[in-house]
Amino acid sequence: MTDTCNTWVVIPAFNESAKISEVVRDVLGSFAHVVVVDDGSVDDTGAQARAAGASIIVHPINLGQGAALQTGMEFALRQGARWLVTLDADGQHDPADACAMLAFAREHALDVCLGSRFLGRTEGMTTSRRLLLKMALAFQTVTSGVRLTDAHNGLRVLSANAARRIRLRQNRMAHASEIIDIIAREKLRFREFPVTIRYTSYSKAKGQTALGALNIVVDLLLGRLGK
Amino acid sequence: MISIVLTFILGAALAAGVLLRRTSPWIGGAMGMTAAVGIYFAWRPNDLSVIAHLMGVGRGADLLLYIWVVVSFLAIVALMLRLRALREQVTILARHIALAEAIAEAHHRNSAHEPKAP
Repeated sequence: MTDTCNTWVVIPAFNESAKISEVVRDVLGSFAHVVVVDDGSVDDTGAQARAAGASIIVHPINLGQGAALQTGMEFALRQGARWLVTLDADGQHDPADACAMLAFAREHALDVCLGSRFLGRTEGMTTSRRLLLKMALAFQTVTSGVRLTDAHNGLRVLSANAARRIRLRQNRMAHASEIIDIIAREKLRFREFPVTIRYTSYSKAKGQTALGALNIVVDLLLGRLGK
Repeated sequence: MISIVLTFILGAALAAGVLLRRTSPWIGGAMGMTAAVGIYFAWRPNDLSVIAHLMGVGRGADLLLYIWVVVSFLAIVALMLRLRALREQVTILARHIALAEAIAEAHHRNSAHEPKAP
């Protein structure tokens, strides 16, 4: 059993009241500390997460998943976290995978461990989603120079050292590519780890669309121009 | 007649560009310069056609259209970068507020759980 008392799980959430309680309870079964960043939800996501036992941070306005992740990481570091786990609020990730990734990262003294659904397995993934992810992966490989098997997987384990060096400026979904860029720039030790992603009708409705992918490309280009 | 109207409009743009130079030197300068060049060509449109011919464009009006498209695109990119910078400032402020509240709450919760001295 992996010791998780100095590990914080960061969950960015926006209008996830239908699922957040279940996700928090599942994660608390394996980890002692969970912080949910309620990114300006208009439903009772924050209250549901609090009732389920998570610490809550509430953004006064909706900023985006990347911004919520950065806020959660800063909070966890201030609480003395030595390891951080990030996962999505829609229930597509398995906390058991997070535990295994944490043990793997510790064992191999990694800075970052990235979940890969293509090294592991997926349940219910559509062909269009697979194609979109493969295109995103090709784009990411070209722009960052880092060869991975998966792109935009929200399940990650970070050491405190890595989390301190990651300062996300991409507020929205482009943060996943930004993290890979930072890993390359800061020469962080990283490995991928096979995980299972469960797509449900709920998570599919919340997932990326082709238009969202275009927004990510525009955000990344503007991010490079605006440096 | 149209030259007089254009001169008034572009003159106002020139004045705005000069005023804007105090806060945004690049944008103000570009705006003032564009307005001044516009006033010149409003009174001497044939000169624009001469330049267009030199650049391989049929008419001065066509050259103006091409330049307008490029300038508009650059202006949109500049505006998007400006918006992005503003969004970053808003993000920092919102995060500061959110963290201050969360840390105060965590501190309050921790102190409530500490055993009281007899």
